[in-house]
Formats: sequence, structure tokens, C-alpha cells
Amino acid sequence: MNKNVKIIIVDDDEQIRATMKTILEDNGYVVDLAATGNEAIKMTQETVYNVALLDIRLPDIEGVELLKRIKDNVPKTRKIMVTGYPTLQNAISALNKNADAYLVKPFDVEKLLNLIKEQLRLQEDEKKFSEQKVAEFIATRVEEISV
Amino acid sequence: MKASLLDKTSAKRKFDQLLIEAIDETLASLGVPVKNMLYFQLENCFNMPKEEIPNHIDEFTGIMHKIFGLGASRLEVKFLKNLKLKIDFGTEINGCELTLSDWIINDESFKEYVNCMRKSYCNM
Repeated sequence: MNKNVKIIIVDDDEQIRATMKTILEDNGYVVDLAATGNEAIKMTQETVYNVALLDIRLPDIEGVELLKRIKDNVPKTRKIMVTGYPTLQNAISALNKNADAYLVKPFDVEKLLNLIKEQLRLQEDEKKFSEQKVAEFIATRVEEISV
Repeated sequence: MKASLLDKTSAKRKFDQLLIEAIDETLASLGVPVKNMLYFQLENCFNMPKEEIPNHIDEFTGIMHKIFGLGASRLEVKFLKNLKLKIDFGTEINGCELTLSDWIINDESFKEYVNCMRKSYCNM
């Protein structure tokens, strides 16, 4: 069911990357891993991901900075910030800088999976909405050019 | 002679079917509502049902450009890429060996490229 859903995990902690990958792949998602922000930027330029799980602290780029630099695709990649330092400031900063959700480490597996499901549902809604808008645009354009 | 003419007619029919499939799949990638709306408008406002598109390529591309502007060229490239995959000529098409990037650079029209591919396909 989730086999076409691509997720990128960006975290400098190898163990966390491996654990998340196993959990997500067991649930049918296709998972890619990046250990640094720059690696993630490169990968998102080459592949369209449905969801990006981004550690807030990376060796080369701050996670919140990475939010701005990850390529936006259609449908828009849903970005979930992951942090081991749960401060209110972190959460506000991440959400203000284009994160779609926020997850605190150590996280509950069920919570992670539910969060991803919820983000995918929102992505699907956005996709349907934009398709509907394009369809309306076509109707309007045809009306204009037919006059 | 008759058999050869029949072969060519059947090849043309097959090519046109592949062209419709290539267009259909590309439009589907924009979303089913978009594809359906486009077909609806083509049929109702321009009297061009989906099956007739191969016979009115020039008109079809004209409408696409009027609707999508520059974006239509990107769709045309996708139509052609998809068509090329379906036809599977390998790397060469007799008399039509332009790559898709050459097509863009040389500004060969979508219609010309399709006609060229159709001709090569029917002569195979």
C-alpha cells in the first residue's frame, strides 16, 4: 500500500537512521538516508520525496535552515522536524520555517507512523485541491480563448 | 502492393493508438480531474474527441499552447518521450534520428516530429 511513498531520513546518527529505516520499510515505505544536510539537498534535487524526516541538528547545516533549502516539488514534500532537544523555541522556529510537523526523540513508533500517515493524507488533499484548481483553470482558459 | 498498403494503414492505426496512449498517460500525470477536463473541453468546445487527436495534431498543439502557454512545450516533450518509449525503435528512427534535445534546439514542431515518427513507423 505504501510502496510508492518515498521518505528521506536526514540524521547524522547512524543508529537512528538505521532504526527508522527498518521501521518505515517494515511498513512498506521506500526509504532513503542522508547523514548531512548537503547530502539531503542533493538527493531531493534528484528524487521526489513524499516525506522528509529532518534532524534539527546536523553537522553541516541547521535543520531549520535545511527546511528552506530542500527542493519543493509537486506534490510538496511534507517536512517533519525531529529533535532530541525539545524546547518551545525549537518547535516554534521549525514550524515558522516551513516544517509541517514536529517530532521529539526518543519517539514512539506508533506516533511516528501516525504522524507520517497524517502528513500523507494532507499531501493527498493538497494534491487533489491543486488538480481541481488546474482543471478549473483549463475551463476558464478555454472560455477565454473560445470568445 | 495491396498488402503493403494494408500494412501501412494498419501500422498508421497502431501508431495513432500509441500516440493517444502516450498523450493520455502524460495528461494523467497531471491528475485525473485535469485530464478529464481537458478531454471534455477538447470534445465539447473544439469538436475534437480524444480518438481524433492524431488526425488534428496541429490544432491540438495550438489549443494546448493557448491553454498552458510555455508549459505546453514541456508537455509536448513528455508526450514524445512517452511515445518513443512505447514505439521502442531502439536508438534510431530511419529518417528521423533527432534526439528529443535536438528537437528542442532545432525548434522542430511537435507536429513535424510526430509526423516524422509516424512515417518511420509505417515504413518499418
